[in-house]
Amino acid sequence: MSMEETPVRLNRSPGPTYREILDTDRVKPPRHFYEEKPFYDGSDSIPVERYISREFHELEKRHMWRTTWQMACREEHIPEVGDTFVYEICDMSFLVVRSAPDEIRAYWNFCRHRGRQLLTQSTWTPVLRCPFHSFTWNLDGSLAYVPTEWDFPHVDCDELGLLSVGVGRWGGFVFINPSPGGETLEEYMGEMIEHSAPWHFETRFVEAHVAKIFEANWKIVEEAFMESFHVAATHPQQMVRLGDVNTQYDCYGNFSRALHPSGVPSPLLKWTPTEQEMLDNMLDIREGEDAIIVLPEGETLRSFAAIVGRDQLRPAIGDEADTVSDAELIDAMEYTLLPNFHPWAAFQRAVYRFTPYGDDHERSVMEVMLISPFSGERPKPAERILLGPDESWTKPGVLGITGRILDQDSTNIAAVQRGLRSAPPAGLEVTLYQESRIRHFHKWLMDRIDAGRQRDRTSS
Amino acid sequence: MEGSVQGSKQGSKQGSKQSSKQDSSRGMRHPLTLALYELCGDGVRVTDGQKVGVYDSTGRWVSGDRFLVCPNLCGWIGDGPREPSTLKDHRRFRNVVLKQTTDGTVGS
Repeated sequence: MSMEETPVRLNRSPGPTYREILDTDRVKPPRHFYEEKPFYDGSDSIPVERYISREFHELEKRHMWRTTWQMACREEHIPEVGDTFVYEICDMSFLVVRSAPDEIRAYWNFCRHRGRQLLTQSTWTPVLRCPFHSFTWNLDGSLAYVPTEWDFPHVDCDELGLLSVGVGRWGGFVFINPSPGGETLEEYMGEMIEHSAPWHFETRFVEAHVAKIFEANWKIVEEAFMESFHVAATHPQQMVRLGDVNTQYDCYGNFSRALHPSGVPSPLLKWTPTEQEMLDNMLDIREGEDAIIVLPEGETLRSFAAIVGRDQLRPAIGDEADTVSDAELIDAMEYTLLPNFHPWAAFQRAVYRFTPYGDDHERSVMEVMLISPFSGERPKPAERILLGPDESWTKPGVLGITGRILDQDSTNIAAVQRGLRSAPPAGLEVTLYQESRIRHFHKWLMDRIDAGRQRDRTSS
Repeated sequence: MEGSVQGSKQGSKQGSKQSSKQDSSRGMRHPLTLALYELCGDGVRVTDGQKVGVYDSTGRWVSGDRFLVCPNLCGWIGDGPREPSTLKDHRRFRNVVLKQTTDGTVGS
């Protein structure tokens, strides 16, 4: 079955749909926001082994990480010719190199003489020289120098260039694919390029970059951010002004998205908050405290937040701000480009990435970048701050209230891993609609692994 | 965009959600149960109907009545800011220009 066919009518939450909420807005969003792409591929449980098995991790490495497009860095991390970024995934290491002013190349990070990594940290370098014996390559990957060349009569040095991998650029991000197999990044992303074009991610800079180690498989961490079903239990303080169970989930070929309506109450509430109460909740005004902003007459929280958002954008994008829809200014809209790249849409600033921690299938790293518009000279990107498993996202002091919300999410993650480790073998029973992005993710992953196994069988 | 500031919060349509300032300490009602979670000296005081108990910020019982509480709201209150929120805490709204309301309390 195609990943985009939905043969059954999936049950949906009571309360207004996302499209009905959009209908109340003053400035309407682009057409794709009205499009629904629900995903259904059966109701099978998800095998626990996918999270705890070393064997499954090896399958992911061989058949997924080695063959898929993945975000390596931002272009601003390598602005000058010679800037080189070391990107590592599992036990694989790559060099992403600014080889010419408008050219970026990437190579497997190993010396073709004895295999030493050419670089162990990101840096600027005029050439890529192995510190072991001084074999040297030009930034374009061609061989520049062979020490004691007389002792390599058996080697055709013209054939000894660095082994390159696929490079794609989008929105200021640099992606690599160790084995692209003819598929460009643009083809891989498909409609996501059109969806995201108005958001100009390439005109932003990394204002903050915080990463945290989790004692859990990378998919457990990522999947914690693919649904808002968990809001009522994990983030109850948000329910007053966040549509949770009426979030819209759409799944496309290699990406999916969640459109969470904001400025509306959760359909689970048994009472109806006023627009002012929703604003107070958004501003963390507590019981009995004075409001710090009173909504102007005739405005809803959605309309007011949209007006404020346009004013905030105006210095960066000028009058184009007037064309930005209310939804793009207030709603929480997340995209996931599989396997692990998770930019918040529109003018939200957060970008998440989820990777195994080194080659450890039971530890992972979640990164949060805040990419912000700027005017004038491009600021330098923030250095990455790495937090340990027990450290709070609030510690660096750069994520604002998002850090506290991420701390709530974080309380679940290692406990899920421990639960899966300790439980008897069983499948996980996830919802059909609210967790459809997780089902889509697993279908995508298993399709890749199955295809890879088939290739292995054919070649042997 | 101009917003305004006045001395007291608009009344809630939900009568049971009313609370006076003097007996509230960064308190928040659970949106589903309407139980009140407030900071207190040794943790988070949770008031649910006639039951009142104190729990730590992981939701573990400390003293008073024992009943089911939300550990995440205990954490939100117990580990959260002690001081009331201000505009500068909120990136989205920090540039809102405030004006005085008719009762003339606060504004800029």
